[in-house]
Amino acid sequence: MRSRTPIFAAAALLSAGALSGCGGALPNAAAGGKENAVYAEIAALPKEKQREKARELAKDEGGTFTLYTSMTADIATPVAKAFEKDTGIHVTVFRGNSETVLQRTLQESQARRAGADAVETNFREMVALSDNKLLAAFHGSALDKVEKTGKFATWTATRLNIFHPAWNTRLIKPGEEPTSWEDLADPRYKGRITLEVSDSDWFENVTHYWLERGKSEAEIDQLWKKIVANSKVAKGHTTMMQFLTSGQTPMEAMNYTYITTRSAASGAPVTFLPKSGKSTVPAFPRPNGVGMLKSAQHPASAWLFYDWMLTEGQKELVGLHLTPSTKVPGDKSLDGLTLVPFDVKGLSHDQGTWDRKYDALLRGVDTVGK
Amino acid sequence: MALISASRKDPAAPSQDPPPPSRPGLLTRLRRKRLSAQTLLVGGAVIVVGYLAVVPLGYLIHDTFLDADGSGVSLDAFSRAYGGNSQSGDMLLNSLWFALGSAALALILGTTLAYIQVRTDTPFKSLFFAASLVPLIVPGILYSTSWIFLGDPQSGLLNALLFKPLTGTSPVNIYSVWGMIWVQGLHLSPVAFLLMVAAFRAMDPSLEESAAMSGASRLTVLRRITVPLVRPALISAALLMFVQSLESFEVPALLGLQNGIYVFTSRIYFVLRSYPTDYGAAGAYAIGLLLIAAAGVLLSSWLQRSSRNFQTVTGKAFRPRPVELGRARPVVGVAVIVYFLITVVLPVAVLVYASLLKYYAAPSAETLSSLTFDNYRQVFDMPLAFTALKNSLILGLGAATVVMLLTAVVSWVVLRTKARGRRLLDLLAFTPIVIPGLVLGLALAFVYLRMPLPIYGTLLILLVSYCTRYLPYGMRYSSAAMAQMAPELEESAAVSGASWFQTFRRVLLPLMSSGILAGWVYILVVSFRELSSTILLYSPGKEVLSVLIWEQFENGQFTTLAALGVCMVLLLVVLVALAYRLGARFGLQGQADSSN
Amino acid sequence: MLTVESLKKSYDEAPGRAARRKKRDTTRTYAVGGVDFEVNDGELFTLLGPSGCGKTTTLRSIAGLERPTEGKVALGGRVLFDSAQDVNLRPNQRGFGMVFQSYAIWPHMTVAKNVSFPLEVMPRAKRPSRQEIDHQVAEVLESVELGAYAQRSATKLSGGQQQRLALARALVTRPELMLLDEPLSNLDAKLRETMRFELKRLQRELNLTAIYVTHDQAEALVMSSRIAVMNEGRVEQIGKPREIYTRPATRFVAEFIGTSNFLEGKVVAVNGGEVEVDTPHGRLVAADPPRKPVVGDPVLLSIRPECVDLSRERRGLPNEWTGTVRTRAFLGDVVDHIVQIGDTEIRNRSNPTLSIPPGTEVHFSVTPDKVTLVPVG
Repeated sequence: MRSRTPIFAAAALLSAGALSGCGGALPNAAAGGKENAVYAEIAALPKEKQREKARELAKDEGGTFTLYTSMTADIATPVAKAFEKDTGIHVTVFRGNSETVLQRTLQESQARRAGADAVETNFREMVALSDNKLLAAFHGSALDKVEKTGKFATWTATRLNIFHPAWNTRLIKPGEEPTSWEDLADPRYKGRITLEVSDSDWFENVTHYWLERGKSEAEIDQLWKKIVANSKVAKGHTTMMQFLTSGQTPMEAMNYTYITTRSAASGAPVTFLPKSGKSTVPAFPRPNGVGMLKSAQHPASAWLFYDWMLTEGQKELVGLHLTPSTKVPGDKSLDGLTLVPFDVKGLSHDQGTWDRKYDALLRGVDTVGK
Repeated sequence: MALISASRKDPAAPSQDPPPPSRPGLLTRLRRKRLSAQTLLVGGAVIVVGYLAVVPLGYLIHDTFLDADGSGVSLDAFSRAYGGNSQSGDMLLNSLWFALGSAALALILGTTLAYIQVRTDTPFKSLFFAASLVPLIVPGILYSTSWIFLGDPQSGLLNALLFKPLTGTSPVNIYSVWGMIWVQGLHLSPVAFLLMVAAFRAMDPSLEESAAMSGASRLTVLRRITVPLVRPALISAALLMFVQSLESFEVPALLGLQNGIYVFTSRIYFVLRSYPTDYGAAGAYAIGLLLIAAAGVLLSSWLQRSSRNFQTVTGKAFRPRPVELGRARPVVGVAVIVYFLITVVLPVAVLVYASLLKYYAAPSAETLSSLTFDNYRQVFDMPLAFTALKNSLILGLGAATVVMLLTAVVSWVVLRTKARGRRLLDLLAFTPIVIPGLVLGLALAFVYLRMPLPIYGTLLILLVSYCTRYLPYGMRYSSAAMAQMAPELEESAAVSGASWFQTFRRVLLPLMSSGILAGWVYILVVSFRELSSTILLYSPGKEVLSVLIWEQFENGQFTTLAALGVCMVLLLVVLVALAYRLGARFGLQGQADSSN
Repeated sequence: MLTVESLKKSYDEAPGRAARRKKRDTTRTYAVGGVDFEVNDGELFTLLGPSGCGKTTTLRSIAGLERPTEGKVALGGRVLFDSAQDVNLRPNQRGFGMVFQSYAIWPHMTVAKNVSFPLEVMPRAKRPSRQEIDHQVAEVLESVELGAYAQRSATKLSGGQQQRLALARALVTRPELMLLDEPLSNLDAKLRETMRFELKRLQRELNLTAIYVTHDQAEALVMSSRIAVMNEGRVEQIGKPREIYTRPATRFVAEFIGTSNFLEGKVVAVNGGEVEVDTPHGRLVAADPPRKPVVGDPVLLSIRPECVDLSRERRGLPNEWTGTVRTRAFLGDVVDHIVQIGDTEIRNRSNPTLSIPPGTEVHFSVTPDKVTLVPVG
């Protein structure tokens, strides 16, 4: 038997159905734009009673909530465990790159599908979530300990990723270490530096810093060109660290200090501090933060996690060699560093300009239209 | 000849029943009803395949051609993607060069190996199995990383331990287009091997022997008979590998970026990771890929225009007699060992070595004295290890079975019927191959988030994703197997009274089994390592092994990652060996002979 | 009894579609252009013709492997295909046995499995029990002398054995109708000859009704109960082998079956059963033509070489002409002479005892009932 059915008609019909028939809202999804009543209920109470109320409400929510985070598993897992131990609430963790966390959260909220209750990720993604009005404001007492630079409209910094060069101690001898960002342009590093392909926020910060210190745009362009000429490009900060520990590459223009510290702690010959123990390279602390979603299915638990991350959670982060956003006794992650402010304004609503500029720089082409 | 006994003429024998009276109206209607069982099955398969392929394609077109405000159609996305300082010319050249080179390398290696394995009395036949599968099993990020440790121009082991002491130079540089082609080609050669093994097994050796008897030398036979006979499979494999290289991301990302060698996929990655995400530009790149692939499909069907009559599986029997290599046997043996060393032993050894370290460093007295099993302990202590393993198994087995069953039916429609739109169906089933995993993940999330079915957030969405991604591969394997089979084998079953379904199950499937099994194994193995769409679609609690691997990679735990990789390789080798054992039972008889 | 009525098969596109595309009237070409015949029970009916004549297409249409464009196929009262009523049974619903030219033995099954397959796929209600299947398989394998090979892989058989296996597989369900598509063409000459008789014997003993497709006229003549000679998609003649041979209805049949001498002429008289025809070389009388012509009709006369009676002397027989021997060829069991009359050559085939050297004047005659009138059209 030879079938004569016109196959394509069926396929075409189906495709039309698939693309058009998927508009309707779902019954189980919460409204994305409206303020959540539970958050209001908690916020209405005096600060000292909020936590108690949240614990109470969280129990009714089923003792579990969902967190989307870009913390790597070796950090997210102990954090989630500690939270569960402290509060009895189980954390279901979705881990992804910061851009995946952002994309997923945006997509789900556009489709009005309940997903994350809380989000913990990088600066720019938090700003984007906030810009999209997906986050609910937090007013708990935990905010009091956070410095002003770590507080944003609807999210708060939990930890700081500090931008600093890192090197292999066997390949970069004492005295050879960079003492400033300008040093990276020095011919002595020819072919020895690695740049990360997505570090446009670092690129922006260094550029901004140099402009503020009175360098002309032409000078800065010149410096960057020299740095790129000294460098190779890799993808992923942790991957780079692997190549650094194995001696594949001698130095990284920038890596987060905690990655270097963690690697060094396992015995690898890497560091970001010169022999003296004091670095003069201006270090930019990028705030990574936490936010709770307006559309949360478990708002009280999300609130509790937010609160916990800024209090007990901070100690947990220190234990993992991360830099907390509040003062925690015993935190040595900033020792020996020269901190300068992170350029929040320049990166908050840049519409991808710096991504494009950095990409053009790495590819050695001119940027159009700045 | 003896007489058939008298019972044969027994009037009660079934065949001698009086024919049913002719009542055309009701009777034909009843028959129509029964006919619809086949129509349902075939129609269902066609619809599912069409659906799987159209969803991401529709999403892609929608995103690329629609204006930002959603009001009209525009080509802005293309000027954003290809205009300005995007260096699209270089990108195009790099992509083509990389894809063509990798496809050529993989094809030459895979075909040669397949021929040697199936058609000669080569030594070390069992090595082929490992050599063909291990590179397939090792995830791209691990395979590339291993080669970085081997081929880095400064500290790579090949340079440091082999060439430096011998020649005083470091000639190997993995961060070049050649290095990329090398790694990608080696990584892909198993695909070519699996496809070509099926083709060679199905070929009647007497076709070669008759040429040899006509006085042709061994080389002439190869050139004039063997290669033309397997040409359909060859072209099909070449196309597959070319397109797959175009779509691959790991090698260009890990090796290409170092020296600024950009290809389509690295641009797509760049576009998708920045915010606000320019989905249009990403789509424009993906459509560029689609156009190149379409050109490849056209070229390949033009090349295959005269191959329609090359059915090599006929109802006539043949005995697979291996070609005797004679004096060349030791040479071939050595070549096989070398190939095995390069594709399997070296990268796996690096993995095993790394898995025994606390942190990766080049081998030295110090590192060798501090080897430890800690990483393996960590792997088994991972809270998600068991869940991930279970989910990966479900998905791998599920996707492989679903895809091969679907494509076996659909390739029948494409090759054996005159149904309208069958060529389009074939083309459609091929399109997912060029849709990069990231884009596919976005498309599926978009669609299923808005569908009132419990798919998003479950394992089902991953199954849909894998089925979509591996549909083109399944189609290649199935249609290559189908094209080689003479239609009489199927017709004789129909005349024997078998219904379409019986024919399909008892004749077509077993006869296609070596091709189908190869496809099944391929899909099973690659589903274990699929990451780019998984990472967007998996949900907490629904982790799979590749997510675990990615997490270790992100954590920077290369040594734990290596341990995980080693475990995965072992697991899949066992699985695949089991599959072949089982497959040999119901497959072609010749297969059992030649696979051991 | 199988009836085939005005069966047509065209491989052109559906007319509507083609017309839409080409925007003009399409004339279709037919692989089978209106074939009618009946096959009686117990008959071995042969479709004979050169390759491309439509015989295989006709057979495959009967089998249900091709869907004819038009026509009707019925077995007894059961309609298998009817374009008018839009009936088209699938091959598996027709209950035939078929032997393919390439045998189409399934290489993934044993000999016994190949044979048991048709029984195993029967509808549940009709399917014999497992033991019954085994019994029937053993029996049929025995009948084709493959009993000893039952458990062997089908691919390990020789060509002749495979041919018999294919036959056994087609026979095992005792089908109402067997379809044989050039089943002997892949065998060597010696085996082919043996198998012809074996097949014929089997067919007779089992009282099988069979349709046999071949391009080999000798095979057709030996085996068939009746033959349909096909050419360019049409049946030229249907008849018993002897009839086809001695009384070819068309020039094509006469040419395709054996060799023949042809003479063109015009009917000058019709007297009872005899027809007188004028040819450029004289008058010939033909007896009992199947269709009576009318005076003045142009006709073609066909005379088989062995019907030409050659003699050195004039004997005063009817239809006696005089000519000169051109060449002589000794073929062992027979001898051929080519005799020239005017610009025409007449071939004679005789017993080798007769031998006339070239250049000799000879007289030859044909009895009127050996002169076949072929209508010119």
